[in-house]
Amino acid sequence: MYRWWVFLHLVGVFGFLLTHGISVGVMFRVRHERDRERLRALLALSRASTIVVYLSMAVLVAGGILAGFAGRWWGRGWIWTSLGLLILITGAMYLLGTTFHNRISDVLGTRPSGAPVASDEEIADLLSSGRPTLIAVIGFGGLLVILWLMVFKPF
Amino acid sequence: MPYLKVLVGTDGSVGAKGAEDVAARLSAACRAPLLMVAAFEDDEQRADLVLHEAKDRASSYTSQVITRKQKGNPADVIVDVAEKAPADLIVVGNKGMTGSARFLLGSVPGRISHQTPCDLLITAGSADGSSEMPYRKMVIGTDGSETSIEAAGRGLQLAGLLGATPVMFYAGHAKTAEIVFEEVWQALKPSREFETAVANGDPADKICEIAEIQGCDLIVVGNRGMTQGRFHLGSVPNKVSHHAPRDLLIVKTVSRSVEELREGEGAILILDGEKVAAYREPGGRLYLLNPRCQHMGCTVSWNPLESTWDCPCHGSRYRSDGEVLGGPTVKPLIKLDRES
Repeated sequence: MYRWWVFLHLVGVFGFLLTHGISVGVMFRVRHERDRERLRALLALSRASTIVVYLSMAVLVAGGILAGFAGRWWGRGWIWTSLGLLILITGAMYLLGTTFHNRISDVLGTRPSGAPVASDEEIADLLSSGRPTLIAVIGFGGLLVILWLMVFKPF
Repeated sequence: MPYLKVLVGTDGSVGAKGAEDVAARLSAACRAPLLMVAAFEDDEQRADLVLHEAKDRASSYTSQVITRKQKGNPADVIVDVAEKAPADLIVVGNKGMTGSARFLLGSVPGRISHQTPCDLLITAGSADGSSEMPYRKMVIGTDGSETSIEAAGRGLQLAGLLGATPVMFYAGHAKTAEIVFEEVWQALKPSREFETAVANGDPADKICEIAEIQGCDLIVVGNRGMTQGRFHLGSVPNKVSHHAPRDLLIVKTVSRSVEELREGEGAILILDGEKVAAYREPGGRLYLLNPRCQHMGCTVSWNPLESTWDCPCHGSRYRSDGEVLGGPTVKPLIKLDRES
C-alpha cells in the first residue's frame, strides 16, 4: 500500500502545481496590465482556480500522511519538518496573496456614481509593488526545502 | 440649521466646563435650546450645584437653557436623556479618552461614542475661546463613501453656519483624492469652495496630523466602524477619538433608523432589508421613496445643504418629497407604500 499512498501524494502534488501555476501566472501578469476589464478577468481566472488548488492540496496532504504511516516515517524529523513548513508557507502565502488580490479587486471597483474607486496612478503603484516577488520567493523557496527534505531525508 | 437641540454632559470639572462653553456657543449659533445634564449616584445636591453654575455660565451665550439631573452612570444617563429629549448633538469633554486612561473600558465619551443616538462632539479644549463662534477652521475626513459624504455634508453645514474654513481631507493616493473630492463636490454642491488636503498613511493618524499642521480646531468624521460594539478597535473614528489633538465631531450616519430622522432631514436608510430614501418634513410627515434615480437608475443621495435628493451620475435633482427639481430626469422618485 505504501507505493499507492506515495502515488496518491504525487498526484496531489502534480494537481497542485498545475492549478496553482494559474495564480502564479496571473500574479505576475497583472504587474504589466493596466486595462481594468482585463485585470478583472485575470483576477476572476485566478479566483476560479483556487478551489482545485485546495482540493489538490488536500489530496497531497492526505496521501503524504498515509504514506508516512505506511512507511513508518513518523518517527523521523524530516516528515514533521516538511509538514510544519507546508503549513507555515501555506499560511504566509494565503495572507500575503489574499490581501494583495483583495486590494486589487477593491481598487478596480466603481463608485455608485460610476466614478472609479481608485485612480489609474494608484492602480499602477499597487501593481508595481514587490508583493508578487516576495510571495514567489516564499512559495518556491519553501517547496524546494520540502523537496530536499523528502528526497534526502536528512534527519 | 444643523442642530435643533444640543445636549451637554457636565460634572463641573475643567474639561466639562470647556464642553459647556462650546455647547452654549453652538446652541446659540444654531438658535437651538441647550440641555445641560448631570448624572449622580448619591450626591444629588452636588449635581444641583453643578447644573446651577453651568446654567449661569451658559446664559451669557443663550437664554434657552434647560437643566436635567438623573441618577445613574454618566454615559448611560447622557444617552438616555438624549434619546428622550430628543437631542441631535451631544457634547462632552474628552476625560478618559487619552493617555493610559484610554485603555480603561468605560470612559464616559468612549461609551457614549458607541451608543449615541445622534452626533457626538468630544471637546479637547481646542475651541477658540476669543470669538463668538467656537471654530475657525475644521478638517473633514472623507473616503468618498456615501456615509462619509453625508458626514462631510454635516461638516460643511456647520462650517457655513459658524463661518469656519472647511478643509476636506482624504487619506490615500493624491490622484484618487481628486476623484473623491469631485464626488463630494458633485454630491453636495456646496455654496462655497472647500480647501483640500491629502496624505498617504493611516487615516486616523493623518487626519490628526493635518489638523495640527493646518491649524484646524475641529475634526469631523463619520461614525462608520463605531457601531459594531466597543471592541471594534481600529475603525477610524474610534482611533481618532482616542488620539485627537482637537475637538472631534463624530457625525452619526450609520445605524440610523427612520425614527432617528429629524424634521427637515433626509437619509438613505435600510428598511426591512431594502434601501429607501427617507425624508421627514417639518411637522413630522415622513416620505419614503425609492432611491433609484428615474433617469438611469443610480442611487440618489441626500444633499443636506439644499434639502434635495441629488443623483451623482448625471445631475438629476429632486425635491425632498421626490418631485423633479432639475433634469435630465423627467419623472419623480417613486413613492413607496410604507409611509408613516
